[in-house]
Amino acid sequence: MIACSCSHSLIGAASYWGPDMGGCLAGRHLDPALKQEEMQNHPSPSAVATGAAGAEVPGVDFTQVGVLPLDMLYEVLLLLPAKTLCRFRAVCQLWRFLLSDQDFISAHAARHPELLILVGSTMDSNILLDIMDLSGQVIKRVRKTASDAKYEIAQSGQFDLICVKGFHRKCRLQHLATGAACQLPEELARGHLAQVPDIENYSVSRIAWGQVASTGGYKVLRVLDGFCNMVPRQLCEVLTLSGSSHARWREKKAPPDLVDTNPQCTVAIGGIVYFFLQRKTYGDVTADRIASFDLETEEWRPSIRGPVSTLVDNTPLPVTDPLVWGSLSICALNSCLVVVHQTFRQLITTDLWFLIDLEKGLWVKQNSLSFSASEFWSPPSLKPLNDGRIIAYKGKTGLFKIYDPRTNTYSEVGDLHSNYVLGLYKGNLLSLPNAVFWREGCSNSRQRTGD
Amino acid sequence: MASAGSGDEKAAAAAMITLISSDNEKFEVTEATATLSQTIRHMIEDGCTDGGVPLPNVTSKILARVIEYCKKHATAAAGEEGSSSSFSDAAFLEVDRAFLEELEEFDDAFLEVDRATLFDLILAANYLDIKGLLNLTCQKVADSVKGKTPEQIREMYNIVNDLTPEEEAEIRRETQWAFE
Repeated sequence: MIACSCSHSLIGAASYWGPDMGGCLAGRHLDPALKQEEMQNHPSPSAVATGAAGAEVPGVDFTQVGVLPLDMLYEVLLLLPAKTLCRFRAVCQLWRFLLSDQDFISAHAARHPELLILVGSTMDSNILLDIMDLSGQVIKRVRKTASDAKYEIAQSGQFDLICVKGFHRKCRLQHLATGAACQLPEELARGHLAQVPDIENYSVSRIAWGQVASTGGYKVLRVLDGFCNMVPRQLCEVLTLSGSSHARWREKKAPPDLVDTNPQCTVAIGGIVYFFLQRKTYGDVTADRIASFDLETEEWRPSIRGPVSTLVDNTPLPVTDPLVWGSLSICALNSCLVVVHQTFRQLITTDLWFLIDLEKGLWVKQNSLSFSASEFWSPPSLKPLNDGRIIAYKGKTGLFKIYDPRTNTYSEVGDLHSNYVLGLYKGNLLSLPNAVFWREGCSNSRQRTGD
Repeated sequence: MASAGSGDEKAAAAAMITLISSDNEKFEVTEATATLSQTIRHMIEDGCTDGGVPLPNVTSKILARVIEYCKKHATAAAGEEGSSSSFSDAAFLEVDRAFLEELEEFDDAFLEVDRATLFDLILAANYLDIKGLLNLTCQKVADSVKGKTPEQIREMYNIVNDLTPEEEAEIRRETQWAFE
């Protein structure tokens, strides 16, 4: 009868309503056949074991209550925010079953496509990160779970995955939607172990990942920092994410020059990871050079000049003037590499440069804004949004605003305290556990995910 | 606006549709009103509305309300068409805004019904495939439960809690953030 009610023709819809109608909002009625079918697709025995399908609820007068068939209940629930729905799983078996269903979760994410901000927490907190909407309201809080959680910190986020860095070389990737986590091996690549002196002293300074077009799978790049004869040295290793416990890091060529592993200076777009090279001195025209690693070929591409050194050729200012260089960061916007260039005197001027052609190193300035320097003693970190607005934040000061360059206005988003913006998120919020491990045993929550 | 209205009436005089409720009450409506329902629109297109459209799943009480909604919104749709074809003039925009406000007030007043009626309206809107009415009524139900606790929901809808204490604890543990 539930399937019938989806039909929009008048013929054959007679069984649509009636005393045997499935699933009133009261929730005890569910077509046993449908339930059987859904159980097969949804291997979570605990969710339906005591379903008591078809049983009447004694003493309930439905004419007083009003009844909604299951598919209408579904429509109503889709309209509700994720937090309310997660609570409603505790109403009864049927609601728990309905609200944990993968189809429902996907439909809900599609219905609520708002862009959210991932805000990481400091190391000593027991919160890993908050997912915030653009008005600063915390929508979801993800807590730390591991036993040595004290050292954990969410380091970067991209494509629904965040990298959680633990002690020394301990790192895991965690899927924000499903909570599934993949512990990355700590062990170094064999070639590095054999050849690099003092290899055990190297620590992981950046993890970046991306999807490889040819296989559709994910590859992870890690950059390790250490010293060789007192000279800083970087190593580079690649791992293919396969879910297998035998995956190993493979040694790759070191970057052409030392790369800046700051979160503001690294971004992965498609299968390519971009880095600013480390700045040596002002006036060094390589100061905004950009290195890129291709995850497909697992090789470094020739590094290119950034927009500012290109600009310097045409500027009357001496290249040694720090004002020319200001502050630089890179990010991704609509799959395009963007250099955010800020210079500051009385006004903080911000230019967004888009990389139009990687081969030719062609940059185009598409956006420019300026705001008063009196609010900040130095430029805030910026994250441009797809709609043209820009998030400006400065962790330590609590500043967190969204600028709209078109109207030249900004909105306060609340207080970051000592937290930091990790990235943006568009995925679903209804997923079940916070931590289920792809490899490490965690039997309690494992049975509920069915992944 | 006035000319659009009278033109509508002329066209409608030629095409009246009879809707028959489950308790055999007949409702005469214009085609413009009836075709807010995709279900009826398809029937008209297929030419099977002679002798009336039986709606065995909709009572006269609910059908009267649904028609009330459709009449108001069909006028709104006709008004929009009328204004978009004419040059956009400040006075017209003013009229449009006033009309939209009036429509919103109508919708709010329309939803002032008991829960059983609201659910019946949802069922009818779904059955007749009237998107606007379905969205409106579903949103009303959603707003009434938003932010409520599981206990409040059970109480509101007489739902028996068939979860074991262990299961309830598990649900809370799984998404602790939602209960904070």
